[in-house]
Amino acid sequence: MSYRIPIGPYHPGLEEPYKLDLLCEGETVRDAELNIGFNFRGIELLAEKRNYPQAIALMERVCGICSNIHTMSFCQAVENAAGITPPERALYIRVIMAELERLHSHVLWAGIAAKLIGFKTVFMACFAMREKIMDTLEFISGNRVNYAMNRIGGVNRDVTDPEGVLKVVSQLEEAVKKTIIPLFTKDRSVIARCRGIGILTREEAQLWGVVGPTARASGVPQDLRKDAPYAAYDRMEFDVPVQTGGDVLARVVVRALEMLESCRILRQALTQLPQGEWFGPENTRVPVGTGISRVEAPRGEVFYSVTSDGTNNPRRVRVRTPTYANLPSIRLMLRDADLANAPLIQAAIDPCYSCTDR
Amino acid sequence: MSNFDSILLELGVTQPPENKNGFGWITVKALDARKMAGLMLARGARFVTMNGLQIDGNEEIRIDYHWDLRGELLALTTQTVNGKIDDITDICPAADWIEREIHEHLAVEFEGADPSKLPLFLKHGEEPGTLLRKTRAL
Repeated sequence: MSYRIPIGPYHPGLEEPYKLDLLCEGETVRDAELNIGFNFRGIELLAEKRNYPQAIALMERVCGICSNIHTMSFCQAVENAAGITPPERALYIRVIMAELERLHSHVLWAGIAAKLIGFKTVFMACFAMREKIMDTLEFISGNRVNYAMNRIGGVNRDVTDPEGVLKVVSQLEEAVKKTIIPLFTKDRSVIARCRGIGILTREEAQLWGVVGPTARASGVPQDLRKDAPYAAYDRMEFDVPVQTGGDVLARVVVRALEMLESCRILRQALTQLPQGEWFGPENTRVPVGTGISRVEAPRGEVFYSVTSDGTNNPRRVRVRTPTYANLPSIRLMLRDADLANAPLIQAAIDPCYSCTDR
Repeated sequence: MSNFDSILLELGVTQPPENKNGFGWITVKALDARKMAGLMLARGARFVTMNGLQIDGNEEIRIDYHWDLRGELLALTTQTVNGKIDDITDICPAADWIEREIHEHLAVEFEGADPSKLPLFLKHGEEPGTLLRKTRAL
């Protein structure tokens, strides 16, 4: 007998609005229908009503977790349209902020995943670790969530104590090695819970345009930090973890290993931080044309297109977030899944509905 | 040289993409969108997104298709004809949501699109084009 199970719009596990209708036969999911738009704020339209510096503050509100990535992407797109190159120190500071944000996002996800798997103690440990990262972001920027670090042509604040940040990075790396890596790569319960469920094949990942850790867990080795480097990433040595399983376990392992790579990048950026200014001359004159920016956010590629008509306000801002690219593939991952696994399969793409709806 | 050269040739485009600050741009007025989508995917390109933009004083909508091939991004720009352009979602499912979004915000008709799909962002009773179509804006 077929029946429909509606989940949401208030999601029981992820606390963001989104609706999923599961079409089941017995305990098996046969298909799923996704409905988004519950958090639609019209940010792209609002950006047309603001000048460029004001639009930066608006873009910081696209996502509550990756706020820095969105201001960085917007500023990079404007810099691309205007032909502006920020100073070297600013490019390194952007890398430092982006990797701290990735760590913060991945640790947050690890906590939620642990909770869904049934390890509530690990949830607490991950959130304690996340506090340390947020304290570091506050130490650098003065803020814990919306850092207001990016400006057109550079960053607003310097990293004044790279050695101090480096010490925290070492502590975080130890904690990741002790807690997260063994749990998500070796623990028998985690492996039993995650292996073989929510499979997305490499071919499906490519056809559906999936990005970030979700794509890399399906064997697609794409990472813009390597493929199309921006900021100072072309000067960083790091590996891109790729798994071929395409299941929830592969997504868990990719993110766990990426945390160590983030620590590796942070160590290089902090020790090699060049001397000099961290912002260029005040310039928000953007010539007629369209600028593009692509950035590897924690969940995957963020794409910004900013079109200027030569006035003080952008003519059109287009934001394509990683969850917007990844979310439709949940339908494939849920095919023939056990109903009890549906919450974990959804959570395994680390969805952000605030970004998706904008 | 661009990674996209051979694909563009098969599409009948002879001029190379223009490099604008590191990104390739090309305008194809009479674009066969379905042929483009099929060729891009067959050659391993990844669909990144689309963008719609109403040019002032023009009822037609500029459509930018963004594709990635081995880290290189190409923006392929074309324009609707009488507010319409071919749907590519049966060839490229990754375009489904963005086509629906462009339809909802800019009232572009994607010919061949499944009309039974529910709106992503439009509220009940709102007409397509409410938000970004300048001539129909609130």
